[in-house]
Amino acid sequence: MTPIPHEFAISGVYLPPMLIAALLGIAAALATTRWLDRKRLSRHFFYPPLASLSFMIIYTVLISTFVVGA
Amino acid sequence: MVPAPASQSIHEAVSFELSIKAKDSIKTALAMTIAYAIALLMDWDRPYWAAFAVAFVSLTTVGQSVNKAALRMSGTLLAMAVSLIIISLTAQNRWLFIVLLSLFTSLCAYKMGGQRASYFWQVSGFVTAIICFDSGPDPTDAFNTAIMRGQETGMGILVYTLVALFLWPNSSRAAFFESTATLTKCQTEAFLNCVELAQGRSTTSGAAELEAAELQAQNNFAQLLLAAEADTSEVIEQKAGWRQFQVQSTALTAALQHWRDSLSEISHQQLMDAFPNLESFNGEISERLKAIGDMQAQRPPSRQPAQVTLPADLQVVEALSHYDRAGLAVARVHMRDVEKLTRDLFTTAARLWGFSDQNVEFGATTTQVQLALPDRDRLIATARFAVMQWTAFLAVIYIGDLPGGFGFVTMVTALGIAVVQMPGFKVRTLSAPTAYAIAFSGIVYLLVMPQLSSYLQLAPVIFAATFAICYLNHAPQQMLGRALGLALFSVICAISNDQSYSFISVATTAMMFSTLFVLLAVANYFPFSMRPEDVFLRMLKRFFRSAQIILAAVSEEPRGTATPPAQWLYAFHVREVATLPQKMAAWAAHLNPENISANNPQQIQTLTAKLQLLSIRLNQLTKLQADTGAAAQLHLQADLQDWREQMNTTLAEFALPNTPEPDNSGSAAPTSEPGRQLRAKLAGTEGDILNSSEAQEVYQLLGAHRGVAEALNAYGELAQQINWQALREPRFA
Repeated sequence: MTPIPHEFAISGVYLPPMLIAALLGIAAALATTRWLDRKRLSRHFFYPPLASLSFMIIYTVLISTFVVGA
Repeated sequence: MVPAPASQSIHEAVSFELSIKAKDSIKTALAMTIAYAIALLMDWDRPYWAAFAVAFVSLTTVGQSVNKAALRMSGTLLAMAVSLIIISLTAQNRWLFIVLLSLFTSLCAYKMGGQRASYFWQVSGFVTAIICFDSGPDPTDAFNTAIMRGQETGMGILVYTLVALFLWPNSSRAAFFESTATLTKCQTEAFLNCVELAQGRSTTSGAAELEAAELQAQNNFAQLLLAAEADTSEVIEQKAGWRQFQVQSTALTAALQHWRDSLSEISHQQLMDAFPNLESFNGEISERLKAIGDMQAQRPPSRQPAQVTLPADLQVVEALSHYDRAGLAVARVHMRDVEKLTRDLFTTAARLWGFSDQNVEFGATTTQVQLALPDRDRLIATARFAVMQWTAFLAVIYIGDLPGGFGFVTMVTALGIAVVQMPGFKVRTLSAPTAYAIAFSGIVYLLVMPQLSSYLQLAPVIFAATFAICYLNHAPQQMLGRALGLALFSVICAISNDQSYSFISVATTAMMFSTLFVLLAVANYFPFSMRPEDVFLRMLKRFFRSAQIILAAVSEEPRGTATPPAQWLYAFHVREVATLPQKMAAWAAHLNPENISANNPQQIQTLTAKLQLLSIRLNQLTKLQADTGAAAQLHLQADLQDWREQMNTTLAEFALPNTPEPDNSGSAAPTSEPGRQLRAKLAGTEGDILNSSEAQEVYQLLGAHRGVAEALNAYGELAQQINWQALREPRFA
């Protein structure tokens, strides 16, 4: 069951759910790429920046579908 | 003892000396306050445009500020004209509008990467975008917007200039003359180091620091000369003379460097035996440099420069191999250059400091007409900028409610045009200063300003905020934080006669900058990867490819017979070889130490220094080849053919990025003595070998080839120690 889409409110300031999903997705992608760099697994990717962008999109979609609900 | 008067005691008790930091901050804050007051009094739209002018032209000395102000004003005037032309030509046609605008701003981005008037082009680019996007969607007010921008920029510049002239004026005079003395001192030390090298009393181990200090002094002098030409009367009156001094001292710096490089490859004993006059020659040069330093300290020279020559001891020279004679011939050329340049510099200095009887006007410094050659790295930067701008424009068109709207495109243009020129730019260098600036400005805008009811109450707030930002970001390396702080304060507070307050505007600005930083971060990898490691390797490959082409051309027919396109292409490759090592040194400073793992960062910097040496030697070879007669070139043709082929193979190995480190232990050096056949040819030559002009040309040309081989050897030895695999390994960051 996916969560119901809703806005996030911080002290009366409303933030769209996709924004939160995107921020979390970018943070998760950065953490993943940093870990891959540290373990030298990045050398198996053809063009790491494109892979990094793909991670961001994948994480954003997953978070927005199953966590945030956007 | 007579007691001091009471007023004097009170004065001493309360007086204190303000620091330079405080004075500069007060001047900027005062100018900002006055500019806002005038703009509000005149009921001009967007008073923060005047504030921008104050923020960006306020520099340490009056001369520097006046120069920057002139560039900003002229850039704004060009932008006004171009933006009005674009708007008038493209009414109701947004695609043609953005095409013309991006073409002009891309031209500005390209020209900004050059040496001249870089700030002029930067201002032209982003002010055009500001005027176009501010009035493009609704062009009825375009003319008023353009005029308002010019008006407020001019007023801001005028206000700051007057404040800087009347309140604690800080001219460039003292710093300029100090830089002149430092430059002469550095050149004297460099010369003495060369003398010690020539006498075998020193090694080249400290040469890198001396060269770096000389270069730093040269750059400092050039910057301060520009400023002093605006605010120092002695420099204004003798502008041509100071320009001549600059050209001559730059040439002397280069000549000393070439001489030092040539000394590291010949035996000092051979040098001293071949030129018995060397000690008196060095003594005379040393006296001249000392006299120049004395004149700068207002002490007259004890005598005029004496004529010195450097005759060779022929008996010693004839006993040497042709290879060694070539090395000596090249060293003598450099020493003669140093002699001529110090003599010219002495004459110029004597006239500048009034120790000369000559009343002849200084001649204008001639600049060589150069072919219009595109710079590949500037083209790459321009392409990246264009992609950023188009991405922002398309995002605003097709994504509804993007924070900032067309203001986002304007910010992308203003920031993008600057960041594409910065080697190793990282978004995180901007994100922290931006966050602080938005937070600070937001607090002032939302909590302080609503309590104020008149300009008399607002003025102290503007003054205090501007003073705080300038005082906390005064160091040269904090210039970016200062500029961002002042600009964001002006934009977020949006002070105008119709003042309104909205939290949404602060939040929107914060969101707009977040989106902007995401775009800048993506633009670091698309369409070209700007990872320092990737850029460094691409430049290395380009350098060796161009070096191969130059060396192949050197062995062909004289350049005069080549077609114009071939000559243009040759000049392009010569320029690539001349400029790439400096660019690589700038990028090498940004290599991630984690990524280069087994490599010592200092090794990479030394590698670029070796490339710089190779570049200088190739440049000398191409110049000498062009100036040497066909007969001399023919002498060496057969001898050097197999050597050139071997060099070509070595250069090709260094250029290929995926090959293992080439084993070039001595392989770059000629494996066969190229002088053997030459000696046989010249066996019957009588008389002075080095005094025969053709033989001199032959030896100089041979020496130039020898120099290239030695430099490539030096590079190859260091390249073998570099872990190229670590540099080439794909990484995310």
